[in-house]
Amino acid sequence: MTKQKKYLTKKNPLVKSKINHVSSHLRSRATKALACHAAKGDFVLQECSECQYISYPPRDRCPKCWGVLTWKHQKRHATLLAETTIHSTTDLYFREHVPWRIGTILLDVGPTAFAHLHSNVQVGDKLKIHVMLDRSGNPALFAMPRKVTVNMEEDYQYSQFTASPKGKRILISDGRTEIGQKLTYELIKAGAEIVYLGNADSNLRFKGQDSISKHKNVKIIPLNLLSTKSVKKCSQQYGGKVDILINTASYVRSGSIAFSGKITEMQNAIDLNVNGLTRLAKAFCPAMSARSGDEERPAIAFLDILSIFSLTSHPDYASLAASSAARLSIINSLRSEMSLSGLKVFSTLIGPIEDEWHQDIPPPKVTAEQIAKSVITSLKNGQELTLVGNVAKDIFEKWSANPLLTMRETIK
Amino acid sequence: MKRYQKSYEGVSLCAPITIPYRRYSPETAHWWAGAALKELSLQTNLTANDIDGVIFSSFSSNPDTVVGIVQHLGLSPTWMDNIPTGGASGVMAIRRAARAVQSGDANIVVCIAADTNHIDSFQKTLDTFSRFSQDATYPYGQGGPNATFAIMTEYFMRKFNLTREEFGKIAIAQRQNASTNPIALMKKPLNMNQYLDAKPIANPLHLFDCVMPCAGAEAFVVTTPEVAEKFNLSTVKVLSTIERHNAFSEDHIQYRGGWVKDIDDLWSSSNYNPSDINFAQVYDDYPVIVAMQLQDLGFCENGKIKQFINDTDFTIMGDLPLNTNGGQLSAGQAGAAGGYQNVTEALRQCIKQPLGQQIPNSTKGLISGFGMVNYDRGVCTGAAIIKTDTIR
Ligand SMILES: [Zn+2]
Repeated sequence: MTKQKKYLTKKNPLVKSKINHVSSHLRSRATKALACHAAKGDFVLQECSECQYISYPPRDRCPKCWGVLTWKHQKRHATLLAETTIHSTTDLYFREHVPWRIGTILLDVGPTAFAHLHSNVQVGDKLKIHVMLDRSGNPALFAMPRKVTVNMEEDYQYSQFTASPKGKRILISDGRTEIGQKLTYELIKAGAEIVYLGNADSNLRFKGQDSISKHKNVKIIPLNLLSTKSVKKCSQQYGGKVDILINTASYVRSGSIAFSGKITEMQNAIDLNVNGLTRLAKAFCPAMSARSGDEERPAIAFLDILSIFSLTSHPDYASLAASSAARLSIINSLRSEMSLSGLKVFSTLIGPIEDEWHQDIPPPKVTAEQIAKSVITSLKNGQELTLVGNVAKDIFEKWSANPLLTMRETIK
Repeated sequence: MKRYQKSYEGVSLCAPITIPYRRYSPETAHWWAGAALKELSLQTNLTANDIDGVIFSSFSSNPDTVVGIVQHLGLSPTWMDNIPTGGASGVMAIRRAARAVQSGDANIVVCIAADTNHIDSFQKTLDTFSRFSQDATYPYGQGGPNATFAIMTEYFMRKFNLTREEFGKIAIAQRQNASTNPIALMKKPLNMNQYLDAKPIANPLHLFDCVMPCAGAEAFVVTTPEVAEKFNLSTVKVLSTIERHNAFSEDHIQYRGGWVKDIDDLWSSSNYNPSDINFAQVYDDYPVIVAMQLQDLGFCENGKIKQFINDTDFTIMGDLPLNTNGGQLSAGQAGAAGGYQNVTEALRQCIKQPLGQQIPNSTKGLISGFGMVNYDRGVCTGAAIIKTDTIR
């Protein structure tokens, strides 16, 4: 049986929020490099480029032949050799979480390692190993049972590394779009307690409003990312009861820099995509990060959905690409800032979507449903960086290998 | 390649010094090192001018190493060494100092281990202990060494069919030995029920499996028989020594240490067998490490450690007096000084100046060190066999 978390209904306003602690930030540069792979949900270990020896913990040279090491995808299978339950620690973060189980795993590919243990695994069991990001944003090995079981992801220790929507109160910044609405339905399907759905203009009806506003787990709330006042007012009302915030807002227009685009479109894109995100983070993150260490109902995540062209630029969608690049930068800064408080910051990078604003781009394009499903998966898996659609995946892969070349390739 | 260890002829170990430990100390490692030198000068009449070799070991002297200590305490040696290997540092200090004396690089080497313990020292030492620990041990529940040794203990128990009672027997015997040592931090008698029912720390480890970090200093002198005679010091001879680091890295979980690689050399060079030995001072941060050393050093047949523990009386009047000062489990763990207290207590038993009760027959002793759980196992091991030379 997976030990489940309890969900209380209300936070007592008279009880002072606990100061939150995160696990230690001290890591070597090599281990920080592992975090980049963990962010994507990849399981990698260092392999010697000369003798192919696979080693762990992260090193700077091969311990067998002193050759150069590179990160390579590895099989996740392992066996649990020994375990302990820690009852006593001097660490402020773990003191709030003991008893805590760890063990020594033997990876099928060779090395042994310490790992956090799922409550269903016992000594001798076959395991599946994930590299997760802990509350300080650093990589940690987590040992899951090889066999998938019901409610497996609700394990108490595992839940410290993830942001499962189950039982959570979630705010979606823009409910007027298909993405916002599809995401709402998927979140409720995944067990969200309530979705606060932002509506920038209460006087102007939007497609899908009738059916979604009738849903008992949905509350449509006024929220206009173009107005600092509106965002502030919304945060005063909901900042204390949002556990996960998802920014779905995006301003997309086709247009180039010199010929077809207008300066007003660039201004609009910057105002919604860049300033809108900043307003949202400024208004909600202080309150959310203050609650990220709460035992009951902690605030756990901030997720932004943005264009893959943030990495490469795009000549025909110049304002989208430029504002998305700024958006990505903002999210990276925010992630670093929030790692001190334990609030997880996610980015979902999407390719062109199937809507009226992307008519000039040939398929394959992503659907709102694909995006919604990816967001749920990334929250459930605690995966910081998710790519949706073949275009996003293809561009990311090329960009990872050679960023300058990939930028050049988007020029026709 | 077989090594032939040259004899330690012409080397005398003398003047064991222990500065009584304190649970917490507002002072620095430098202060404690100075206290050891002060006590040494009072007991031996050695002055700064006499001391031409210095070895220093500490976890809490940052940013200073031996050179900082030498200047801080006004020494001017012709030879010095810094040995940062914790529980293995005492045995390593004997080896290095002995060769320096034999070669004439130094005549009177003072080996000092000193550590303070501020309220937050333990956490600070952990945070910066090693890169592998930062990356791959402490993020996992931050149980510190307790968690690592818990896993080793759990594995060792399964592999050799031990129960908590065997480890309890070691802890209880050492507590009984400590009861005669006036400066041991924990002298209250311990019985098996108290041991078994103690607060869990990290399963299967409970409170009495763990040492109490404290502040303290230990020192001893390595010199020639001629100098020892001149200063009227009792002397102990070194018969043989071994040292090994990062052995058996292929073992998935540590259940043996580097001693196994060199144990035959240790006994053959000494011309003794384990049964000839009168007492053993082995490193004891956790009972499992005591058990591992007894087995690896050949006191029992490999795999027979359970029976050996059950059949042996480890108290001072017993078959194999073990950690006669109470060891770190009862006397306290004063950082790197924990890696020297096995040496100083062994010397004291040999020259019949114990802190507590004297072992009736105590001319031949074994000292063993184990140190530096850098990641998932202790990396450094060493051992020495010593024999009473002249009692003055
Ligand atoms: Zn290699």
